[in-house]
Amino acid sequence: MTAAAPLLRVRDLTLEFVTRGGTVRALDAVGLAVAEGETVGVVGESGSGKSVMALAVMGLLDRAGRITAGGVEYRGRRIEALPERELRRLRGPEIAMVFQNPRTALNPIRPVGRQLVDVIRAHRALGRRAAEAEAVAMLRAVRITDPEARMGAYPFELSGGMCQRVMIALALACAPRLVIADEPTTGLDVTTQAVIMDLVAGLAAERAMAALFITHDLALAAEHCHRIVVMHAGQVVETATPGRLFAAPAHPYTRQLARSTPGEATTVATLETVPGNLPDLTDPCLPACRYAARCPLVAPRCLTERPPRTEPWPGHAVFCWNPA
Amino acid sequence: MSGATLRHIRHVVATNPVTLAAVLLFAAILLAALLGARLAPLDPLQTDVARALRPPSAVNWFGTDHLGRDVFSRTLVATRLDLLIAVSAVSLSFVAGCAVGALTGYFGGLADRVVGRLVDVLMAFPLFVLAMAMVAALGNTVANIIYATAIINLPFYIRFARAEVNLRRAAGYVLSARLAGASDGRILARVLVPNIMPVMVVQMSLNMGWAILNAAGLSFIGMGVKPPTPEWGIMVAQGASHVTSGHWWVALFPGLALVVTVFAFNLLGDGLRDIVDPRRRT
Amino acid sequence: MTGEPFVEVHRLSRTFALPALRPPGGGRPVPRHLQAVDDVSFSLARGQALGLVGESGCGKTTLAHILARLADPTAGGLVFDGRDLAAVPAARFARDPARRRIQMVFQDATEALNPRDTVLEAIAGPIRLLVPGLRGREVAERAAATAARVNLPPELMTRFPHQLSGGQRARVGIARAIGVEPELLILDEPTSALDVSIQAVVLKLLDRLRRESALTYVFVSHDLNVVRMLCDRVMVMYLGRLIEEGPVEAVFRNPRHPYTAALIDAIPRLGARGAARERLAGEPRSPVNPSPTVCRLVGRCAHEQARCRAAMPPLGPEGAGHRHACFFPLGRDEEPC
Repeated sequence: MTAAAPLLRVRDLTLEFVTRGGTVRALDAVGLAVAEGETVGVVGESGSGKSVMALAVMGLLDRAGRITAGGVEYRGRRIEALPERELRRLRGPEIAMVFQNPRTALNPIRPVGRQLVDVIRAHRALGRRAAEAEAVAMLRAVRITDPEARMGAYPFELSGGMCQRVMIALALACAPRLVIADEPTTGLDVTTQAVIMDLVAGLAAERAMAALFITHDLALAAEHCHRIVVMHAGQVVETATPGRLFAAPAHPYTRQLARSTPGEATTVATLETVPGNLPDLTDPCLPACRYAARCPLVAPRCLTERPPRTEPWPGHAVFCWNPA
Repeated sequence: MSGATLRHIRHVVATNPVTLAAVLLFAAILLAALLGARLAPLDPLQTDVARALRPPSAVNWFGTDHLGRDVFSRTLVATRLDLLIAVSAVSLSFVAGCAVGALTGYFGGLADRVVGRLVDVLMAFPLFVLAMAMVAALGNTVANIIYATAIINLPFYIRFARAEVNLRRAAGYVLSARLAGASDGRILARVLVPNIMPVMVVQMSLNMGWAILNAAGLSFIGMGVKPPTPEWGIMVAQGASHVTSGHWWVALFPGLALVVTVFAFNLLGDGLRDIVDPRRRT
Repeated sequence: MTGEPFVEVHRLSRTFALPALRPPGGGRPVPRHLQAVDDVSFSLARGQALGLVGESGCGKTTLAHILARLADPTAGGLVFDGRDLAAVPAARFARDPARRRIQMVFQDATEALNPRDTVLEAIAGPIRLLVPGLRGREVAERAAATAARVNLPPELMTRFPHQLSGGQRARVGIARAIGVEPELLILDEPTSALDVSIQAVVLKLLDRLRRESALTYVFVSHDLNVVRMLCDRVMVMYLGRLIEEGPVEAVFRNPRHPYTAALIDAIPRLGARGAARERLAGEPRSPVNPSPTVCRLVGRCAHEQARCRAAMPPLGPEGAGHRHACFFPLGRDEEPC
């Protein structure tokens, strides 16, 4: 990380959802930073809190969600303290989001070109003609062939990959400094996924744009991110560069996750399983380290004391009492 | 009914106060229907012109009508007849509609298209007028009112059951049942029909209110139950002419009984869905 | 391969009729059909695990449904243990004696389990209908034994599907299929809805079950690494056509068809940041009324030549262990086996 203040900083973010079934402690003192132009991957299984964190960064939390400690700073401003009007001014020109399911995130009864023009004109003082020209340029930037003809297409007339390109064009239309992509390629075919990820990475590099990339796919994050943050049950367990993380994972969860992902040389014998299930986040007596119940190296203090942040290597941080 | 089901019903009722209110209201209506004649303080048919059009009092809680009959007793006793008509009519159209709708929705083909068009034709009629015509042609007995109400309800159940079955006929668990060696009949009876029950039961409960209004409506225009039988529709009709002269109670109380009953059935719909749908079990 | 193949698929096709479309300039409406599976032939030995890979819309799920006899082919033969099953319509197959021997595990167990059935009911249902001569007690005992084989704790037997975790539901789906002791098991993306850590458990379970009961698997998946790990052979489909087929290691190490190569290249790898690779350009061709004289990959392939636009490359060489459908294959020829 550079000495300058990061673009985005999530500091000890603790977040609860009050539901009928009890209070869900969704995030527990989550911390991460994204520098200008950096691509950070947040990796975790379902229930790890990765998507909730993204929503908190965008100020899009459901009313049932309550931040009980910590906060989110974007260029030095506290996001959770901003009024809705200020937030709206941030979303789009500063922070943009790409959602998981492009088909449902696009308005089904409006041509994609119009949707692009709407977004461009909402944030920039451009006339209709100029905005349309800009929209065509955006579609071209996301490598949609024959963009002029596609301007009039409705989402249902486009393939899933094309819809996701349109979503990316929408997100990038206002030249944001930070784009948050929540599982942007889940549900797409591998070859389409590869092309979309190349596109996002290329555009991010070209425009010096930072990205927070949320995924369940460790290998995908490893291919496209500068840094990876591994989450489990609402806690950050480890953060490092991909090379470092897979060469020398320090947290038992990261290690198990990597070994339970089938690779090209994996055999049934070498495939490892993560024992147990995700802890119940409504349980009022969660262990201090939420991985304790599944961890092969669990010690008594894991249940009572939160593991401190240690750095086995510069830029490689781990939260564990028994790091490797 | 197993112990688990009873526990589940208790759980649903306990966690949702609206359902509890609906269940209590429904129980009260049911009680009135079953014991109405015994609970009534006065004879609902006893006329006494000397006491005509008296306002509500300690003796006549809901006042008296133009023939001096006790409105409270008449309203109470009428519950059984109104409920009987509605429940029978809705049950008939529910069973027939589910069967026809499920079969046509599952098998499709020519029968489906023919039934679909027939339903369209039936629905193109003003349904209330259709019911009037049927009762007029067949004679206004309670049985005919029930048949007429059942027939005008039928298209909704057929359409609804057909759409719900059609939606699920290619569902994973239907394929899975075929893999398990289940025949078409078995899939319909054991898998599809039970799975559409939650939505159908809600529909039935909502429909029940409508059927009561329909029966009351027929009586209101003189095509239904004949006076002097106590029935809410007739009572409202007869009371309506006295509202302008300030005798509001004659029409108001049977009208209120109608409103409360329809309301109770509508509330019950949501609660029933929670009870019938196993996915809501915890 | 020696002896009679266990499953023999011969020139299998499945088309779906679409509403005819009037051409923009006017004139007669043109009949349209969607070619989901197009002239697919392969054979499978008893006890083998065959992977079936390809992208969405390539016809792998349709082919899986035909193999499981839940759907009918429009043409071609399907011989199972010496008997042509394509002649039995899917609608009547539920009562066929071979129904017990061919079972399927679905992609999304949440969707494939009847929400009104308890775990016990879900597992016992197929046993009751397909295994003749069992009494009520015996059915329940066999269901409990099957649940134990997939490591489902007995206390879950009275639960409903929505009360289970994703991994438990997947195991109920598997138990339901293996309770009747099938010989051919079709698995349609059985782990794609699961988290990695749970997927690993289910994959190990599937591998163990195959070894215990000498099951024959057809394993449909979009995850090539999973197929490579679990299967002996792999088939690659593209827009309804079988374009490459062979032993997993041969296909993965030496892909001959450019599409297979691109598919393998697109798999994300741990610790391989920013590796520039070959990508497929553009979008797949339409599966509606496909031309029989053009390779399906035309327009996306970096190696296409005039010949690819003039004829459909056949799958070959005939009789080889590793076959491909490309006029200008990548890689090197192998020793004939």
